[in-house]
Amino acid sequence: MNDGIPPSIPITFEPRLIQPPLGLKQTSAFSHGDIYIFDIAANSDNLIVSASNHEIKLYNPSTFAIKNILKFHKDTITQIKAHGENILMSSSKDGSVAVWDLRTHAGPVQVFTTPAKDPLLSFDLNSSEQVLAAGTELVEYDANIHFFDARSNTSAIVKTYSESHSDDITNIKFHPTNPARLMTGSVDGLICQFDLTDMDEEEGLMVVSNTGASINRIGYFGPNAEYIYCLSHMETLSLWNSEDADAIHQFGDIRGVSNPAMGLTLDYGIDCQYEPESGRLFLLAGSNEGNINILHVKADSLQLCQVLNGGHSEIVRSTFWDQKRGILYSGGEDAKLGLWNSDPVTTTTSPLAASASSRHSSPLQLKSEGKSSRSSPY
Amino acid sequence: MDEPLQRSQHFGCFDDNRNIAPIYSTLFTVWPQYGTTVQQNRDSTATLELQRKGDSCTPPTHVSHKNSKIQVSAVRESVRQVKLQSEEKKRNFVETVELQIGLKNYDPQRDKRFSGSVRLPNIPRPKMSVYILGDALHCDQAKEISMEYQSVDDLKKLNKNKKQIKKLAKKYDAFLASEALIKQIPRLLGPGLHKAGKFPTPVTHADNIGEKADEIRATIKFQLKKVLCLGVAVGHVDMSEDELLANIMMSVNFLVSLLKKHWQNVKTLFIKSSMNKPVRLY
Repeated sequence: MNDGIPPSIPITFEPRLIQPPLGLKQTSAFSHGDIYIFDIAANSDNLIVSASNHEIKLYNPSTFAIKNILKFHKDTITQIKAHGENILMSSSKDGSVAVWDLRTHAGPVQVFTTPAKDPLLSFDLNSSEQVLAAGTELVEYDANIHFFDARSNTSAIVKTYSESHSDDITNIKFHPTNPARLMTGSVDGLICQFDLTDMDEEEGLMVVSNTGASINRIGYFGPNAEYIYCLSHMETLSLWNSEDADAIHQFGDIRGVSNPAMGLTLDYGIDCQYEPESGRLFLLAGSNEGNINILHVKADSLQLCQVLNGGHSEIVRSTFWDQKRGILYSGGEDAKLGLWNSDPVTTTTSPLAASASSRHSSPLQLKSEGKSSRSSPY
Repeated sequence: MDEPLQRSQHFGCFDDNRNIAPIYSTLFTVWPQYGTTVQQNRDSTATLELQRKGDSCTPPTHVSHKNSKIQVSAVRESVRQVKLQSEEKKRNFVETVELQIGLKNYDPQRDKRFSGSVRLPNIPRPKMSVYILGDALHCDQAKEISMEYQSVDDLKKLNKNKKQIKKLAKKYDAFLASEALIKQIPRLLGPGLHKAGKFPTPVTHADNIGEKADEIRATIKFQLKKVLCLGVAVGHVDMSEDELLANIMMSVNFLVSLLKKHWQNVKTLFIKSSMNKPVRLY
């Protein structure tokens, strides 16, 4: 059990892990008005952003020029996920998972929904693209995992698991290569792993990790997905073994790494990201004033790699880091989108953004602070 | 730890609102033999005094904390009122003391989820029943401290009978399970304990199961769903003023530290005993 208070966690500085370092290239406002950016996804042609006004916007990933606005959901969009180059999936508290073809300008090509319209908080598609699983909010006494046939054009539920969690199911993650292996995480603190071969909840429940803390984000990592990271709503970080569900290390409250001498203020975790090429797990975590901290997570210690400041003024809710191409996108409660890369350009106005804004008559004003503020040198 | 703490020892206070909580937590985790009193200083800092339990000769140790928006003396006064209210109308059960927090400038539809648990310095629910699913060592330890327990073999006898498992889940408030055994729980019991929110907490051979059980009894959960108020049980009316005070300060400071705008997100704070009117703190 975690008392959640941040005793100081020792941290070292290791900037060599992000070379060349990322700098702020460009920012853009999602829209005027008081909205939050919730989630960012990307593929090679699209930057996809969901926001608190129930809209999803598609942008050109380099210029932030708006390509399309996807309007469908009637309630909070809880997760978005790009699938390949043309497909986007989005879940919502309106009880649906919508599937979009990004090449068309029409509505969703398919909608998965449940008869009771349980608010859906999380979803994933398995590696064989046959099973869509979605996790619900706690409704009365049930927190459900609904399984759909992803290949069917009906929205019929194949199976529902309703016994494994006692509170909101905030994470649904399929194993990256095993199409029959599923992991679920909940506010009840449990990480449940299932073997879906027989589609039987009781027989298929393989291992359970009781993290003791309301789960915000979990994910598989490691060369063979042999590990699990877990970020809680109380800002604790823990690592687990996915085979036997044992804890590898409990970092405790990561706010404890805050270190004024290093220019490091850490108020909340955003997510973790695994880099297969280097075998390293990174933690993206933010400050209430909008800094993004990138840390390297080792088996039992943390290293600060970089602080990305100057891009946001409020809580950063999502990052999308394409480590191969050295580009990081960020979005937050200030309704701003940020693009960070290693381009040493320092013009005051990005010429691409200026020409884009004159071409579009959309109400969106592209505000571009092209002045690339490099992350703070130590 | 048998060395007395140094006088006026500071524990690396940060300058926002999460300070007094880390002090309490660190102290109570590492030095459970210390009791505390909290006093309000003239410069509006709060001082935590530690006294080794049962030893009135050890000089108290002072730790300072800045920037708590509630005056410790005012909270103490409110605690006094709550205890008085309860004494005036004695009930035939021990009333719970609840902390009620009203929030503002927070939108449950879009702000980050506010959900977690905090371990309090003094057990708010001493009657909470904790059941042990133990290996040989833990079953022996349980026997010694009169805790109820069951072994792997006993669990196997349940034969995954859903009704029996549900009955077990209902009968106790929380479960502990030996680390070696906990891996087998899904195979032995399926998801039977999950729905009741009672999946066991792991306990190792290095842990003392009595202390682990107390840890569970001292940990309170909180979650904000759709409305802007939150209630957490922080104690009961038979606790001393100091014990209630310590629990309240810990809860308030921890919860405030998790809010984006800290005290700017707090509209009201009340404490109340089960059957009486709320007393305002903030």
